[in-house]
Amino acid sequence: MTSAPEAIRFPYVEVPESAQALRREVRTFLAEERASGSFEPACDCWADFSEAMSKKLGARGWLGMTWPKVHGGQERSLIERWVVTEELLAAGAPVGAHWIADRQSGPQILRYGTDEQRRFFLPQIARGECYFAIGMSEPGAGSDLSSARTVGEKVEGGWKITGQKVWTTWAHRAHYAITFCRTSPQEKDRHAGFSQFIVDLKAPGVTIRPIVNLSGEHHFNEIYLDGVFVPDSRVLGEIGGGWQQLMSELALERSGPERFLSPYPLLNAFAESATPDNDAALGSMLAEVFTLRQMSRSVAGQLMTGRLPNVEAALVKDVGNAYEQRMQDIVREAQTSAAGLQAGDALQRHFECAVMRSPSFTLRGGTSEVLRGVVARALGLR
Amino acid sequence: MSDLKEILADEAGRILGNLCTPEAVNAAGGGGFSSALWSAVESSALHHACLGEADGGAGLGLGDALPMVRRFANFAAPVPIADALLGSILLQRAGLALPQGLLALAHAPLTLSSSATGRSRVPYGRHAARIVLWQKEGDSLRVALLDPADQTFTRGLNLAGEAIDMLEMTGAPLLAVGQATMSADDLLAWGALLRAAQLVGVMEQALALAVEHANTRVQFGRSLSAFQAVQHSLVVAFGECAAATAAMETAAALSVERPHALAVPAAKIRAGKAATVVARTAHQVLGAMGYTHEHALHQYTRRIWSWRDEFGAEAEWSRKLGAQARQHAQTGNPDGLWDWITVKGIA
Ligand SMILES: Cc1cc2nc3c(=O)[nH]c(=O)nc-3n(C[C@H](O)[C@H](O)[C@H](O)COP(=O)(O)OP(=O)(O)OC[C@H]3O[C@@H](n4cnc5c(N)ncnc54)[C@H](O)[C@@H]3O)c2cc1C
Repeated sequence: MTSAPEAIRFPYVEVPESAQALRREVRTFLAEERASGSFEPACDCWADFSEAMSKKLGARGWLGMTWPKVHGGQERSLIERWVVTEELLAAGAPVGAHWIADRQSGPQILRYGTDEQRRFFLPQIARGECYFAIGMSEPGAGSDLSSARTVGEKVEGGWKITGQKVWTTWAHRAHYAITFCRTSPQEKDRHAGFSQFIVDLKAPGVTIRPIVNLSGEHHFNEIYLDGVFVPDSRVLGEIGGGWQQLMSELALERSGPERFLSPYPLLNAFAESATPDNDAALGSMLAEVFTLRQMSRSVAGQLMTGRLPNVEAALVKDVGNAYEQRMQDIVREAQTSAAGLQAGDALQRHFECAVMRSPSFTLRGGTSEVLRGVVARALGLR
Repeated sequence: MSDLKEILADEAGRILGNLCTPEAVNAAGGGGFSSALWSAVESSALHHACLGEADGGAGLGLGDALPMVRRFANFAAPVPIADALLGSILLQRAGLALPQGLLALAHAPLTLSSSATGRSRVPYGRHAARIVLWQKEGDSLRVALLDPADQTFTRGLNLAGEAIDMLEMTGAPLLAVGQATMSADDLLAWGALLRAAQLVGVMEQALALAVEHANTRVQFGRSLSAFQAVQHSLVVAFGECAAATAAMETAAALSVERPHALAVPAAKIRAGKAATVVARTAHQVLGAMGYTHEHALHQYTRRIWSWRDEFGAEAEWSRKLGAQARQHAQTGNPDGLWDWITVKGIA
């Protein structure tokens, strides 16, 4: 009856009782932290860096949760991890330090790394002590990552990396960057000949320069790699297999609650100060949050069954980011008092943070246009 | 149970494939009804899917009947399957016997004693053998069965050309009266969930037609689907439909005994919003061809424009949902709203 779309699905996934118990534990912990002043809830909190918070979460076993116990994990399910991530985001806790390592670098090492790499990196990540950056984008390679020009050249005992990376979030505070490089000349297949290296950001030849974002914050950087030596033991996965390795982690990167809960503290502040006049606005936002939670959790459930729901993940991110931006308009339009969003209260603080961060939502992790291209291909349109 | 719901949906698909041809759908425009299709529905007892097995039903919860309802919408079937399912549940809960023939459902409350007084819209009223009427009575409903033979309807149509007739009665005699353990709010919420599933069904078809057209229509020497602008608008519409589907399926899963207080409003709101985008996009992609009566697209888009407003449009459900959320957010507990959003079940 219906054509191609049939294959793209978001089946309902139940949350097991064990995950609900975990949810309560995390919520209680965060409420105590908030009460003790250890953090102030903020929008887009997964862009905020706090070693102290990451270490506390690590100590409680809430990082690297799904990994084997021998590697410092807890052998919990992806749904349980999903529950913990959404609790952290809803609370607006500063979780940026470990976010990349826990979400994608760790899982990549677990999947493609050597046993030595797993034993070395994963326990430190799970303790909240070891942070990673993503070394993908370059000045000439943004959406079109296959035009990356940073090269890895084989030398005695390892590889020599030369090139430039840009927009590298927290490179100035992270320990390592999984760095995407060309290791053989471009052929007909634009995706062939790439490899990933675990680059020590303190290694000789690495220069990190800040790039200040529009709000004046220093989150991202440019990285110059001037013949940086990476030993063979720090090659991640297969030489030449870099592209496929990246593709296999996209669903983790794109489907999580951080793709629609970034402005949750704003929604909460809006609800706390709402009058009956605001009910329609509030209800329409809640309908979105409800829906996106189901879609995101469904992707986690599908990953547990071994499916690779890259298209579903692209949809979660695109639909989620669109909501994250539109909800700010809804909040603005719902203002009925003259003070509006300038009353000097929590609503104003969260609104301003959400607005200033919002351009990044539809860029980082794959732009909306790139995501739509992924879905268009699955629909048979390209 | 999940097997049974698929079996029923497949059975519906088989019947619809045979009887619900584009000609039959067109012929029923302007307030018509496919009696041939309804006879087949009755022979398979699809309209009684939610009744207990003792009553000749399949014993499904209403949520489990949604895949079947969605299938009827895939075909733009000119029969009121959703309202008949809900009407039959009401009668059964009230302990009233199920009548023969098409059962229609009043959408507004009436004043019921031994007779009925008041006004209500009744989809497919003019074709009905019997009509289910209801009145709020505390947390439950007084339910009555009416023989519409002696009633006059003010005939009306929704934008889809479905008969939406206005029934106006003063002391109309009733065939039977009973008491059902269902609140008026729940009745309307079940209706909203049914319309959400129907909206998903027509969205799927409108999108399938648009995708097919984009792949076959050639302009500037290329198929329309080669243009990124066309691809992206279709993908956005597809994302809307996927979101509506996820919300509706979750609401169905969570609404076992009663319609879920957060999930059902969210599903109807999300489906209404999504359907609006899907209809607009499908028409844009199909060009002038899609604006003709000859092309099938309007059978889906006109249903979108009608159904999004039936059993509560987005604005009404948003106000209700927002009012609940506001109360949970204003208890003095900073996690109050989040506690409510994540209660067990919705998780
Ligand atoms: C806050 C933030 C943090 C980031 N952190 C990291 C990080 O840690 N590591 C990292 O490697 N990268 C990071 N990035 C970079 C991010 O991945 C890129 O911004 C993104 O991939 C887009 O690349 P670009 O900025 O060069 O834009 P471009 O690729 O130049 O695109 C500009 C615009 O053109 C559109 N466009 C491009 N190609 C097409 C096409 N074929 N069809 C239609 N439209 C197109 C894009 O969608 C976009 O709207 C970060 C970005 C931000 C904003």
